Amino acid sequence: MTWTDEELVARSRTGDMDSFNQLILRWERPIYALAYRVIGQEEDARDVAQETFLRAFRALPGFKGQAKFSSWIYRIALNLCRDWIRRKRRTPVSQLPDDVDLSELAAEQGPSESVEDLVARRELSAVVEEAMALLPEEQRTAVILKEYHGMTFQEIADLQGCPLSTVKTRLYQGLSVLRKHLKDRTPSLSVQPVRVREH
Amino acid sequence: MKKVPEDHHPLNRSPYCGEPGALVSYLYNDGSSDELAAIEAHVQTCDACTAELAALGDTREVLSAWSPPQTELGLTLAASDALPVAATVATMPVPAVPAAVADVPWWRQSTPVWMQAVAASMVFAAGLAIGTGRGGAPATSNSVAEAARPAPGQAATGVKTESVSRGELAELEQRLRGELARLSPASAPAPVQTAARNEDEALLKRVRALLSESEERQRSELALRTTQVLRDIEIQRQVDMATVQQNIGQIQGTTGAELKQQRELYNMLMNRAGLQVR
Repeated sequence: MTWTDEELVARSRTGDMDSFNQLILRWERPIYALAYRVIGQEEDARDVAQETFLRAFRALPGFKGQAKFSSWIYRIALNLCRDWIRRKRRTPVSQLPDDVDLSELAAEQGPSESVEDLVARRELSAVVEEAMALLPEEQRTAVILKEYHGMTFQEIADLQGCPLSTVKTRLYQGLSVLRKHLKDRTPSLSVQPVRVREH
Repeated sequence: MKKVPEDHHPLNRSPYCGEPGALVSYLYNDGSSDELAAIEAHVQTCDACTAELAALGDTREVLSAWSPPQTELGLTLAASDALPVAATVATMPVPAVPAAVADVPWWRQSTPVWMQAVAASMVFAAGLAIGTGRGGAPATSNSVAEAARPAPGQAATGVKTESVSRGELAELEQRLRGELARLSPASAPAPVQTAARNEDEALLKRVRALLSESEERQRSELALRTTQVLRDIEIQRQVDMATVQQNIGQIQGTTGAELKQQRELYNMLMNRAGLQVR
């Protein structure tokens, strides 16, 4: 039987560690992905994910279910990412190493993917990562939450604590910067940006 | 100041044209259906906005290539990771109440056996009292109908209370007390109480065992650390002693050599002085 998040939270609040570990299993990948994309360090992203769940567990008695568990845990993760960025005081998103380990590549290779395709994908991924590093934190977070976590504008606004219109503006500005940067690096992005109204 | 697309015809002007919020809403299909329909109606007639949306769509396509490394996470929490309070909650044994009982409201839960026994004896004693009051003799095996029938000579409206003497009441009270006293010891060690007491004792034992184990561990750690400190001090003392002895030896060697040199010098001077006198 599959428990809902709310049911698992209720059981966890009585001290049931197994239920909470089920929640971790369900949400560790998205939280890690969010942390990695925001701070750009593999090991640190893992630490942030671990710390997120630890803090969530400790704060469970105060969690009354006023928000979805996922929203709550995303908020904790984002706060930790923000703390990490403040602590490091540096450009959060890192560059991928130049030297590519072929054995690692082979491990990532899909069943119908050639090594050339895989290398191209890795290169493209590196280009995107590099472009994302150019964005201010708020824009980058908005793009990440919308693009990779499929959140609604309202959910992002709640998480970032800003008006809905601000989220849209951040997204648009972020996408525009990314387009300019990616245009030169990828042949598929040949469309020139048009001049739009500025607010 | 708002900038309008250069190739945008004034007659085609719409509140959505080139508006970032509208473009992003349409791009992600996130907005009310009315709003999205209105934006779509505009986009179909506006080349600039169509091009802009296409470019943003291409950008989104490239963004999809970015994926985090596929590392094995396997994050888990143990009870010890939580705060002491939470850990206590997590590790404390759950009271041995069956789930089915726990879900039943208190008024529907079964009454303990000892309480049932007391209640039964009270009812029995009340029956005895009624029987005594009505007929002077205890209502033993007579039927309920017989017991309820008015006694001869009594008015149908009520019972003559004058027929019960104080002595009889006192005797009844004594008998009831005796019954209760007899039932109480038997009913006290009811299974639930005994089980609860056993659980408490077991828990206490476990806590005591944990405490003594912790104390023992701390004692052994303290002893170990003390030994280490003493050993370090002894080693340091030996090193210092060796250094001091070495230094003293050097000083003695130096002093001896100087003394010898001075003695030789003195002898030489004395020899020369003797030669000159001669």
